[in-house]
Amino acid sequence: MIYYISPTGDNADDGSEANPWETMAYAYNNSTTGDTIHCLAGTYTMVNQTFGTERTVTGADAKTTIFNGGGGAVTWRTSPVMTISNIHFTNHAQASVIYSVSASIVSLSNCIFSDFISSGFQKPVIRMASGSTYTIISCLFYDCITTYANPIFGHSALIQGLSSTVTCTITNTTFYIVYNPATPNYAIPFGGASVATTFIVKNNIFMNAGSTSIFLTNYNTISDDSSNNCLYGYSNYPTRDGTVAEDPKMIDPANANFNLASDSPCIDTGILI
Amino acid sequence: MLPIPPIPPRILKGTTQGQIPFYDATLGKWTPTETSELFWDDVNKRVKLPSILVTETFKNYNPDLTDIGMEQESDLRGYGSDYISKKLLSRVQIGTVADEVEGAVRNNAGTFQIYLNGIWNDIVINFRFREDDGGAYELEHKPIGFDTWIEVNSGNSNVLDLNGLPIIQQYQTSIGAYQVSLQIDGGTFN
Repeated sequence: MIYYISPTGDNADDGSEANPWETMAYAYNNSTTGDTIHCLAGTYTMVNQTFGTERTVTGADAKTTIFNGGGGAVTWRTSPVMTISNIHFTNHAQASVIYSVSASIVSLSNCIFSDFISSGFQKPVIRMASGSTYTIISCLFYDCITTYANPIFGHSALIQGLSSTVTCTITNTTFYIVYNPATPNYAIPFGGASVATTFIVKNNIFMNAGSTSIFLTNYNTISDDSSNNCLYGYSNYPTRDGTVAEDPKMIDPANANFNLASDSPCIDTGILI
Repeated sequence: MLPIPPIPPRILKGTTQGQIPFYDATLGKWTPTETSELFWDDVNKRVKLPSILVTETFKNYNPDLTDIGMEQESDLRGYGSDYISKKLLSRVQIGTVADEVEGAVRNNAGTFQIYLNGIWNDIVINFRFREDDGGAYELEHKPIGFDTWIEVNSGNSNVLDLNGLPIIQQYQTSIGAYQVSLQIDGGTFN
C-alpha cells in the first residue's frame, strides 16, 4: 500500500494522495510492513521517529520535499529494511539524522543532507549499526560539520559504521565541506568507529574547499572495487583506478549549486555501475 | 537282514534367515543361497540383493513405481533410452562441445551457444525487453559486472540523479550527484 502525507494534510483523512495525512508518526502507525509512505512536496517539521518494521519513505523530490530538524537533535531510527529517497534533510544538530540501531539494510537515494553540526562522540549524519548494509546513491552532503575533538576512528565522519561487519556502498554522491583548521571542523566523509568498516566508493566527489588538506577518511577499509572518485582537498586515499585529483569544477558550490561546469574533469569520467 | 543305509537328504539344511533354495546340478541337490548374494526379506515381503556389484540393468527396480504390463521402461518415467522428460537435473554443467543437431547447447570458450538453423548461435545474456513506467516498450541491457539497467536505444539508465537525469547517459556517467545534460555537437558552421 502507498500512503501519503503532506504538511497541509490532516490525520483525520484517509491517507490517499487526494486526502493525505499530516504526520510521519501517524502514517507509520497506520501502515504496515512493506508499505510506502510518500511525502508530498512541502516543508515538514521533522521529529524523532522509530521505524520498527520495513517501510519505504519517498518524497516528491529533494528540491521540494524538505524535513527540517529545527536545529535540534532529531533522528529517524531505521527499520531492519528501509528505503528512503527524494528527501532533503536539513537543520539538524547533535544527533544523527539517520540511525540504524541494529543490523539493517538501508537504501538512500536522491537525498540531500545539509546544515548539520555535531560535536559529540559518534554523532555522524548517518550512523550504521553492526551488521548493516547501506547503499547510498546520488545523494548530496553540504554544510555539514563535525567538531568532535578526536577525528580518528571516524568519530568526526559524516557517515560512520560501528563495526567491521558494516558494508556501505556510496555511489555518485557529492560531499562538499570547507575545512577550517582553526575551529576545527572536520566533516570527514566516511569512517569506521574503532574497527574498520568496509566502504565501496564509486563516482563520488569529495571536495574540501578549505585551505588545508584533510584526511579523506579514517579507520576503514576502502574496497578494491572502489574507483573513479574525484578527490580535492583530501589526502590518504589509496591508489584506485580512475581517480580524479583536481578541482571538480562545480558551478557555484558555495551557493549550493553543485552542477558540473562544462569543463569539469568529472564529466563522463565515471564508471558504469 | 541287512541294515538299510540312510538316504542322503536331497535338500541341504539352511543356516541363515532368508536363504532361498536353488538346485545345484553339480551337487545334485537343492542348496540354500548365500544371504550375501540373494535372500528373502520376510519383513518387507520381497526378494533383496545385498551390497553387491550390480552389472545389469534392473527393470522395475522400484516396486513402488511399478508400471502395468511387462514393459517397465516407460519414457515419461525419465529413464528411457533416448531422452529424459519431466525430471529436475541438479548441479549440471554444460560442456564445451555438443553434437551439431538442432537444439543442442554448448559452452564455447565462455560463450553459451545453441545450434539452430544449422549453425551455432551465441546466446546473448543480460538483456531484457519490458514495458517501462510510461507504458513504452524498451530493450534494456545490464553490462556484465554492473547493477544498473541501461536502455539500449538511448544508453540511459533507469536510475536518476538529483537533477532527475539518468545517472548513465549514452553508456557514460559523470562523477558526483549531478549529471550533465547531453550536449549536441552540431559541428562547425562554415
